[in-house]
Amino acid sequence: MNKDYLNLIFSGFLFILFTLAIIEALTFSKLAQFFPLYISIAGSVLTLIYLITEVYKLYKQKVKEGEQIKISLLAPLRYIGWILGYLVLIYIGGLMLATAIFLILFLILESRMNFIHTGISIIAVLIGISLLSSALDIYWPTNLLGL
Amino acid sequence: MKIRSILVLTLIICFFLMGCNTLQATGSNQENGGNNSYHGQTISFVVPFQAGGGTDVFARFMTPYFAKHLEGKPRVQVENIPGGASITGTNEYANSRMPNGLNILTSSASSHVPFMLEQSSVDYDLSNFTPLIGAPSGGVVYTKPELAKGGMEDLMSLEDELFYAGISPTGLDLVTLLSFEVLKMDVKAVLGYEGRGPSRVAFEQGESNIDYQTTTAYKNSVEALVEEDRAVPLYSLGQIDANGDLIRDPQFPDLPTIEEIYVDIYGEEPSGDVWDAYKQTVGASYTLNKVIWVHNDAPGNYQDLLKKGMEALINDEEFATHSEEILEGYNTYVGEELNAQIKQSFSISQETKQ
Amino acid sequence: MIESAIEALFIVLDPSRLVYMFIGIGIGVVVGLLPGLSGTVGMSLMLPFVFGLDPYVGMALLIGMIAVIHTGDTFPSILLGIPGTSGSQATIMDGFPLAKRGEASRAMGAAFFCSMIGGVIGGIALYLTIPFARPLITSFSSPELFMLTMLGLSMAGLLAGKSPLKGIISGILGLLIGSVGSAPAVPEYRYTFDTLYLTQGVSLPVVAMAIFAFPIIITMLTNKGSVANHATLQSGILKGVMDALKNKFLVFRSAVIGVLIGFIPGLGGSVVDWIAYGAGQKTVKNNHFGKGDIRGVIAPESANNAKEGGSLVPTLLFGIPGSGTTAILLGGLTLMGLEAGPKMLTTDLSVTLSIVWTLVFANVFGALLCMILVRPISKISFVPGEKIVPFLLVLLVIGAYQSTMSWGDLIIFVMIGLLGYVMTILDWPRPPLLIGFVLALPAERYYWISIERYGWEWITNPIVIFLAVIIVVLLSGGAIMKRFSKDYEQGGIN
Repeated sequence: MNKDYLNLIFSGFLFILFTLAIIEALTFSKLAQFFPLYISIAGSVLTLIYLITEVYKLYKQKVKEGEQIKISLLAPLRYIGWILGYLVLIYIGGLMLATAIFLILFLILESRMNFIHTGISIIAVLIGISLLSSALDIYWPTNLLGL
Repeated sequence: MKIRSILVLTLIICFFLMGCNTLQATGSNQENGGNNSYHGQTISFVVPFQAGGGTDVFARFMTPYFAKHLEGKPRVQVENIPGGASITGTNEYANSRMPNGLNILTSSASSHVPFMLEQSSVDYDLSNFTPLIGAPSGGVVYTKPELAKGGMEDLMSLEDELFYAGISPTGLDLVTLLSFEVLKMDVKAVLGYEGRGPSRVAFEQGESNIDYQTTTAYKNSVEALVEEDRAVPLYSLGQIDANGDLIRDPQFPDLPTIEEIYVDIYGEEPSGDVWDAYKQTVGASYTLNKVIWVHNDAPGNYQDLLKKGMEALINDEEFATHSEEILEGYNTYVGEELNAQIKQSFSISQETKQ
Repeated sequence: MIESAIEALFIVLDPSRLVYMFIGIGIGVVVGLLPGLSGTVGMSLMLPFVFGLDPYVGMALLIGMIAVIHTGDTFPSILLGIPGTSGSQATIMDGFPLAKRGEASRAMGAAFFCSMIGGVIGGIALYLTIPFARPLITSFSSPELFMLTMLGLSMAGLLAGKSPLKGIISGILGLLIGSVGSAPAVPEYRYTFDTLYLTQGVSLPVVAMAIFAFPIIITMLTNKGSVANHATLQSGILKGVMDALKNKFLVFRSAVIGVLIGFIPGLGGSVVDWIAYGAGQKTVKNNHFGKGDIRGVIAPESANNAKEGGSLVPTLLFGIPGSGTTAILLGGLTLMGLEAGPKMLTTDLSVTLSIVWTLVFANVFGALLCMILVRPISKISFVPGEKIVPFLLVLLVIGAYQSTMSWGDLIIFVMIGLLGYVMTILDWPRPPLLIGFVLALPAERYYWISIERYGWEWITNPIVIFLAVIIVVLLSGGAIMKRFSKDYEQGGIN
């Protein structure tokens, strides 16, 4: 995707975010209000200025630099999907199970590791996590199955 | 191929072991039944604060004595659930912990006051818990020597000159602010400080000129200032006795209560909503500064064991000598005395809530 | 006081206590090394054990750990571009580019050496300020503290890179994220959307990891490559040490900045690395900070270890914790039968002095230990991205979950992480966001207290005016220097 357009979309998103923050801040009591209100007004005004200058620049530009910088969205989205999938797995089946399944799938499908290395590393990770949690007093995410 | 099958086997064993691990943990919680002893059990002690805070230190101090005095010598494990100024952890205890007598909770003034004020985030009802042991704390209000020269009466007639540095109007500051209101003092409260330490620094450097500290902090940091003639104590916030009356703080027997000051200056007993609210909050925030609870629904035999353990605990001489620092030298409440105090402090009438 | 210092030295060197110090150092390095685990985790881990310990032993354990956390946290910052703790974010700016060029060893050599020197300077500073601590700490009133947070925020402008407007917007976004949670002066929650999790605000370790680690993970996967492009790992620890020695004034300056910022209660020591980095960028001539300049590693690393010495002053003498770590340290003191306060200078002076010595020793030994570990650990930078990322992800998820042990941590991690990723690909600077986030609460608090207490009078306070002048000079100086360097660059091209 065209980098300049993506940038415009992102700035627009920030503008909306700041504006929503202003609206939300209006509901706060006076003491809690002044700080978020000031900064969200400043933020929304500045993003608007930035947006306008960017659009203007884009409009005036003859050679569209941004078009040369294509940003592929597909690959990052795939990996973000992996991360979300891992979290969903943890939520369902608990850290240990989810970690094992995630690592098996990822290492074999994405990293193209062979089975032996995959197995060794997974066992090492699982043992490592157990050691860490017993030695360092670490908590694991809670999950639906209660494992 | 061989290696692969070995690996698969090890993986399976690993899973099995992990499974056992968690099964064991949950399993031991289930098998209570009609046991008359905590033998071989683990009690989970929920502390709704981050490790290292005052309440956490209190809980960690108590745990070895619990293990020692409870029938069957159970393992007692402190579990910190920080967040939401103790509300997250207390909610979790109330709603997600099994009432099986193996889960106990410590609360502090910061869980009591929101409960009494019925804050929306509170999802627990302290009347659903049975109190086991309660520990008091106290506080002293002090000011600059140059302001205290003319005595209490002069101080109370000052206008626009007294500045108080506080944290937020719902915490322990509430008690101090109410005491100013009872005495009809004109104090400008500047709230928003990070903690009692920063507010004491604000006092030392003149940003505020009337302040309070809890017993330990007062003894550690303010008494030195008093000796150097840079601070003068005015009154202690007091304690509430079994009759619901305000009495002098046993740690500061020489300091008057605000009731005495009021009588001295206005020639009559204080009365009205503000005065009632003051006494209520002193009870819930200081006299019962920290309370350890168990669910009401917990098995009766365990409740009895816990209560008996507490009574044995406070008679332990080792406990008495070591508790000086942590409990600030106050006596703890157990049994009937504690129940009376709880009833006293948490039965709040609608008017005083304002 | 020198006599008692020597006496304390012998107390510290007692073999039975030294063992505890080394245990502390070991835990500190490991905790620092693992992203997401910070001093708070290490402290809460050891707290149950210090109960009833002899204070000298307990302090050896706790201070040993605190001292070296900011030594160990350098590994992930340089090797992977992921902050080991929130104190080593600025190290990424130049450390990571250096690792990409295969110069990870050099960067780490310099970093550990500077950590050591910085830490020792911090210890000495703690010792020297003991007699003056009281008047010094009570000399900061709220208006001055407010101006100091403003000074910190103006660093955000300096770090903005090419587009100042983007930098400012990013900083404001950070301020807005920082204002989530309870308001400082009233019992009111803001932007919490009725969730209990958000009432305490978003936690710093989660934001720091999300904003730096999440984008790195994705880019490592999409770019399909290892961190270092060069095939051989240059051994360069000594070279790094020499770099640090060559820049001894920078080391010293940054360490002093670290001590001072740690020393001022309420400013939040987490920005100390950024401030040292920004100050270094301002003062070092012909620098190419941000593109792999070794001096961009030296400045923050000297400062973050020095900070600990400074921040122990308000903690020990006033009971004012400057961070989560020192807050737990206070609890530890109570468990050992000590109380923070003026007594630490009179009856318990020997404990305080033993802390100074432990700080010095732990920094030296911690740095040496890390230097030994450089060779094995830096091989990580040659592992291909897709083979290391899944393991990192597991570590990050566990780490993120430790901040409040709630699912909210993980959700915020992903949300801020996505924001960070978009900002990375669109060249929006991320450091200003973090600085804004950290300073949001102090800025609001001290502004409010200043107005409430002094009206508008406080603006005429001489120190406030002085600090305002410094900020203006810093910001305009930046613009002038940028123009100058631009001319210079263009001149070079033509």
